[in-house]
Amino acid sequence: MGIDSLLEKAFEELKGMLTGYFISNKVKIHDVEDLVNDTFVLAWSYRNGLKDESKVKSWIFSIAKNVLIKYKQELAKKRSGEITIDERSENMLESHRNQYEHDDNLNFALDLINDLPPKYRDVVILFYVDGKSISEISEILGISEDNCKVRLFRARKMIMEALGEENEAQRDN
Amino acid sequence: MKHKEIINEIEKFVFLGSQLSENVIDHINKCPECKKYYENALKFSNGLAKLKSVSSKVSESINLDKDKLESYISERVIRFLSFRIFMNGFKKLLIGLSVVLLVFISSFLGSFVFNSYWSSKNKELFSTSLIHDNQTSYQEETNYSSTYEAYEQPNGYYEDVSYYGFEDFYGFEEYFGYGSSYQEDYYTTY
Repeated sequence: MGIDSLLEKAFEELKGMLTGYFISNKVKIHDVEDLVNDTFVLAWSYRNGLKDESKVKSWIFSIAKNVLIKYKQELAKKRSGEITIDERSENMLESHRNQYEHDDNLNFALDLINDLPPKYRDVVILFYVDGKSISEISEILGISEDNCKVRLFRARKMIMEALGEENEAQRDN
Repeated sequence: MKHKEIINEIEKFVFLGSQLSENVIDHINKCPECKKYYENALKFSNGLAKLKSVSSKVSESINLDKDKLESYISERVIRFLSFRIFMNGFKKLLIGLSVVLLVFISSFLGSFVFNSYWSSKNKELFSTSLIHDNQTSYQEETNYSSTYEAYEQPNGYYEDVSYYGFEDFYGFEEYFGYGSSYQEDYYTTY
């Protein structure tokens, strides 16, 4: 299989995963499409630099991570971070608008996920948001399946601990 | 049931989707702490479900194909190139403006320095001519040269005194015992 068709296949497979990854990392909804496009454009532009074709998903995911870092740096400059929808995204998401705009449950989950250390956060997003299997996650992240399971277990414990702390914080208030 | 067991059950409910047993539900209803814990877990679980649905809906709206990517890339390249062209033009304009500014500042500074130099020169010339006039009038009064004098010392010898060499002469003040009256007596002793 040629590199072009390999990438096309990977794009189609990873599109949903990257969308979930960006949204879970508190990327503004109207920016998600841009970031997914940026990731694929970068991957497509530098496709000749991919040496090991078996690691294409891991390679694209690492590009997505860098795209996200750049986005967050730019966002930090603008000093805004809330997941909100502005007029630019209305056409695209009008029909789903009421479902998640300023959704307490969604923001609560996003806060908890984003408080996790990055290596645990990635596993949680890929497993619980994108519904990837352990073997797929290990392929995307370039880690062993056992390591993936350990990370997932620890991430779950961290979230449960955070839920308990949230409980205490609410009680204190 | 212990709190820890309840928390484990809640964890399974959140992450594995398993149903809570009757005993756990009873405990949650009775224990306010576990109830709050469960409410948070439920909130998180709902948020996670919402996140999944948002993710899939946004993902559906993203349409990627090779042609679109290629056009997107060429669009980016054109944007990048036009930006570069703009930046190059802007750089040239900036350099031109800097050169004009530099010429203006240097001409202004040059004229200022030139003027201040010649005004100081004029002052110098003016003051020199005043000194010259004073010296001339003094020479006319005393009939002595102001640049080379002979001074009669108490021991009878004559000491050459340069008009410009007072400092050397001061070194012998104590030796000759003139003290501070030297300056006052300088012209009167001739």
